[in-house]
Formats: sequence, C-alpha cells, structure tokens
Amino acid sequence: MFGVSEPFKRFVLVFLFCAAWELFPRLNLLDPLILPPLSKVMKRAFVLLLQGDLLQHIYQSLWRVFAGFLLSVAVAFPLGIFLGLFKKSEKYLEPLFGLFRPLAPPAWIPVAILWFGIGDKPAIFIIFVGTFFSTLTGITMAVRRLDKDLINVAFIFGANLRQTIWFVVIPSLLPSVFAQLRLTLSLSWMCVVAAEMVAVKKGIGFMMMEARNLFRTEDIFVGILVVGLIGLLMDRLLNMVERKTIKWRKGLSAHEFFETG
Amino acid sequence: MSFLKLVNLSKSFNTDKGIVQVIKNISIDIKKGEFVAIVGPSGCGKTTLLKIIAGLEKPDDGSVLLQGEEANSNNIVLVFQNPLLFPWATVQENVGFGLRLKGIPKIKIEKVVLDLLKKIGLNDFKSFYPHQLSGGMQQKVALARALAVDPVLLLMDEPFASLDAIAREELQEELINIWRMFEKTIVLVTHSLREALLLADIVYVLTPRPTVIKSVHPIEIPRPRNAYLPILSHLELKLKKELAESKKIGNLDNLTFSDSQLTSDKL
Repeated sequence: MFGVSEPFKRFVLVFLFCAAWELFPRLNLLDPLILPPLSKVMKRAFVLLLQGDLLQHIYQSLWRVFAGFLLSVAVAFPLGIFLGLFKKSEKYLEPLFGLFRPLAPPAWIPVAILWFGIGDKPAIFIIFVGTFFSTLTGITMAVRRLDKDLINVAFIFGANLRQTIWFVVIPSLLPSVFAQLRLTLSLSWMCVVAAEMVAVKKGIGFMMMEARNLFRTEDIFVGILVVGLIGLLMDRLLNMVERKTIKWRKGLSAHEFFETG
Repeated sequence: MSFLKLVNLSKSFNTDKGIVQVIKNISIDIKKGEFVAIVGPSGCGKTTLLKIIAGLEKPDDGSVLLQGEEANSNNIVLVFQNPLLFPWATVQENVGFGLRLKGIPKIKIEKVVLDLLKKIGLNDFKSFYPHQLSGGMQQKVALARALAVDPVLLLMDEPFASLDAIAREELQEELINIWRMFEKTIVLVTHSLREALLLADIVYVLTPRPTVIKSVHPIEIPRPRNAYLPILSHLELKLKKELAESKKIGNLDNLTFSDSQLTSDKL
C-alpha cells in the first residue's frame, strides 16, 4: 500500500484530468474559444503573474475574504454559543434567522450595492451575510450536542458560568469549531468571487467578469484555477492548524475504520 | 453528632403521565468517615437522591445538612457512573481540574496532583489522554480528580457499573484503600447488594418509586472482605429474601444479586 508509487497514485486522476483538458481542445474535439488547452491557460497565468495584475487581484480578493470571514466568525461564534446554551433565546430568534438563511449570497448583491455603493464594503457585506447564518446554525448545533454530563462535572467541582464555558464548553467545541471554520472559509471564498462580479474594480471575480466581456477565455480559466488552488491551500492550512491544536483525537475516525486492514 | 443529615427529603418530577414522586421522606444520618451504601432497584430515586445531596437538584421538601449547616455543594464531589473525563486533557490535567477552578497557582496544583497520582499508583500515566486508558483506569482517574479537591464528602453513583468484572473487583479494592488512606466520608449508590455488602459500613435498602428506606443494615464484617466469605453470601441471601417478601417490591428482576447480572438491567 505505502510503496514508492503512493504519491503518484494520488495524482493519477488529476493527471488524467489535465491531459484531457490539454488534448480535447488540441484535437479540436472542443472549440479552443470555449475551452482553451491547459498549457495556454498556464502560459497566460504566468504572463498575468509577471505583469503583476494577477497578484493584485488575488491580494484584493484575499483581503476581502479575510475581512468578511473574520467579521462573520466574530459575530456568529459568540451568538451561536449563546443560542446553544440558552434554548429559550433560540425560540425567539430562530424564526428571524430562518427567514434570512435560505437567501443565496448573490441575492444580497442589489442590497449591498444600494447600501454600500461600490468597492470593498459591499463585497465584505456579501461574504458576511452569505456565511453568517450557516455558521451560526453550525455553532448552535455543536453547542446543543455538547455532553451535558461533562458540564455537570464542571458544576460538581464548583465552576461558575465563565469557567464552565472556558474550561469545558470551548474545548468540547473545538473539533466542531474547526470543521465550521473550514466550511465558513470556503463559503467566504465562494461568496467573494460572486460579489466581485459586480461593483468592484479589482479582485479575481472582477478579472473573470472582465475577461468574459472582452472574450478572453484563457483569463477566465486562469481565474478558475486560481480560485480553486487558493481555496484548496487555505483549507489545507486550516487543517494543519487543526491537527496542531487537537492532539487528543479520539481513536479512529470513521474513514480510518473502514479503510484499515 | 451526625456529619451529614438528610432530613425528610422528597422530590417529584413532572412527566407526560403526570407528577411522579421519586423520593418520599428520606431521612439518613451519616457519621464522619463512614462508608455508606445505598442499594435499590434500577429506576428508583437513587441517582436523584445523590444529585440532591450534591446540589445538582433541589428537593421539593426537606433539607441536606452538612455539619449542621445547609450543604454547600462546593465541598461535595460526585463521581458518576461513567468516568466523564475531559478527552482533551491529560490525566494530570484532568485530576487538576477542580483545583484550577479555585484559582490555585499552577505550581501548587502540579505538586498536589503529582503527589496524589503517586499515592494511588497513576504516576506512570500522568501524560496519557483518557482514550489511551482502559475503562477501569479512567474511572480511577475520575476518582483521583474528585479526591484532588479534598472533598468533605464523596458521592459515588454506581461508579463500577459500566466496568467488566475484573476491573470492578480491582477498583472496589482500591476504593477501600483510598477510603482508608484519605479518611473520606463516602456515600455509594449501587444496585448490587453484593457490592454494597463488600464495601460499606452501613447499607440502606430502598424500595422502588416512590422511594422510601426499606431497611438499614450495619455491616460488621471485618475488612479486608472478599466476595467469597460465607457470611457475605448469607447476608446477601437474607436481604434478598427480605426484599422478596415485601409486597412493595413488585418485580424482583429489578434487583440484581450477583455481579454477572449487573450489566443486564443497566440503563
């Protein structure tokens, strides 16, 4: 299983996909104007990188993502813990949140422009509303699933509310928190591209939309590649932090159970 | 003077089927340093009784007096049926939990905890995480966590019920050693007559709901006791018969008399 071929095995599908991407347009099975070959997209990516434009777009998008992501997490986490701990509060707030949750992030674009004009603010707003409600629900549910007996243990030892939250609730929540952070981050990244399609003058989304207007198909695919790669990278990064933080992982997780032996 | 005094404790719960009285007029006097066992069938108010003493539940009526005063839950610790250790903390951190809550300096906590771990033979496992330990070992850590805060009263809610027979016997022996070493007052709730007879100075037998005290039995068998002492089996049989004769006990299956059956009717 774990021979030399292992790294190769992992990328077999990626390699096949890239080969298909290269060959189909080259063999004229697909119009290169609709799907340019991978090599041309890569070449274009390097040109854009060297010109400095691409980095500027990436920088803008990343900045917006982090601002929106942090804002969303900063509001949703404490509120989610509160809602999870105090069931009565949720009774009143849930109908309100339930009203907004199903709205897709692009549905907020007109409101965002109306309220915040153009620039970073509407984009950050869209990331915020696009991620806030699902983050809130995720955290509320995680708190709801807390082991009540562990909290009883804290009370038995005379913990007050602050200590119970700090010493028991938060550590119990860490695994779900990291899962939620990864979800929120990838949602933010999805939202930013949608938000940048209108009302901004920089950013990956803007770059792709402009490329479409100018019929530069290669630039569109550069955008797609960049969005995918950065999303993947950010997720891996959070995953690394997660594994550094949660050293006490309990036994096997389900996939290990099914895949070993 | 009695150390812990339960005066006329009553408690009922609201359920779908109306009000169910769980505990009725329970009064018990416990001396300092005494090992008390409370035995009763599953579903009787044993756990509720412990929770009331621990301050996790409020009685509808009656009071809990510790050395003549209303009990303050801070110096009473309850050990649950499951170890309920914090999975993110090592053995050492788990045992130090109660001290940390009191804002004691870390260096002092470490000293107390390491000292305690040495005394009860857990020193080698101080940096283990709970999931790396066996069930019996986990329960021992839970016991150490309770002892670390030097409680005036140690309550135990079927602490060995989820263990296998071998681990249970080991821990029962350990518990007696710990009880002697630390000179604690212990109230142990169990549904095993044998466990109660093996460990306690005095055994209270409870009836099913509404739970009242059926009988009280001081156990004067010298320690160390073991489960194979004829007198123990004799007493067990006597209590069993006594319970069977009582019309109040509708269904005898609720009571288990040997360790092998212990797990079968556990919730």
